[in-house]
Amino acid sequence: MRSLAYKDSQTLTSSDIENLARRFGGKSEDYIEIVNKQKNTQTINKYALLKEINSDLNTLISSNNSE
Amino acid sequence: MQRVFVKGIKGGLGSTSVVANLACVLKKSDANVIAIDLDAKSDLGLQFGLPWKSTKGWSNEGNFEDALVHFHQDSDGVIFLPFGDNKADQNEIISTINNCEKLDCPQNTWFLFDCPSYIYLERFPLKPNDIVIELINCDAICHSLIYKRLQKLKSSESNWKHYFLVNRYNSASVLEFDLFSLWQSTLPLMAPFFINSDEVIKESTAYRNVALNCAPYSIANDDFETLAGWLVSKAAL
Repeated sequence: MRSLAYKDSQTLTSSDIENLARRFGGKSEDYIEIVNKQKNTQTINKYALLKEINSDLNTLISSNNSE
Repeated sequence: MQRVFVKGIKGGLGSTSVVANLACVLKKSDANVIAIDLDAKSDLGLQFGLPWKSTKGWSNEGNFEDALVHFHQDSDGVIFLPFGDNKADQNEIISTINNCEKLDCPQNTWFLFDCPSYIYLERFPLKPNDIVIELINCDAICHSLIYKRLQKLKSSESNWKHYFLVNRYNSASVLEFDLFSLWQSTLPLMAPFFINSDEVIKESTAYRNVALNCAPYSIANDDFETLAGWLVSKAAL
């Protein structure tokens, strides 16, 4: 018989982070921002056109900054 | 007076139905609403119940005084001006926008301009209080166009209130969810909500009406009420 195994997720959710912040202090928004950035990077890397546009934009921004 | 310019970032994004539905929702809240069709397709009138055979509008007249006869009022009380079936260049469109300011209308008047996607906003006589709603779809082409538009807006030093609004959002699509989430957290000019894809919008047009009258409890009408409330919060009235 297949046992109903407890699946331990490695990904922190927003509510996990809020709980940690409540317990140990700090601003949960800062951590959620990091999670969002990771999600955004995943989305950009998932789709070829988005990845290309993002790469070109980064090149453009760095060339503007060096001027 | 508050001017709102609605255009698609590319063609076929539903700016006419957004203008018609928004106009009726604003009118319901006792605002004075005047919708001006700046698109040569001239189909805004159809959304307000104008007879199909009625093809004349401001483009058929040599000056704005003569075009006044083409203003109509729909059953909800929205006043609208069709484009007509003549050609009009950019200067004539600009002249029509400017002439609308000369109309004698109450302080709480909303001017909604249904603009074609190909016009150059940078050449329009826009003011700091004007609101531009640029409609987008959650697709990769719009993603590309948004970043091109942002670069143009930056270089033109635009001083009007410019927003991107997702129209016809399909909540069942993974791609649309991914793009909307990405835009919400990275794009500075995104409206904080979307207009859902809803059959009611197409159906109400087929019934010669708008979502407010055909299906007042529909998702579509909820979305337009959200849009209207958000615009009121951004308006200078």
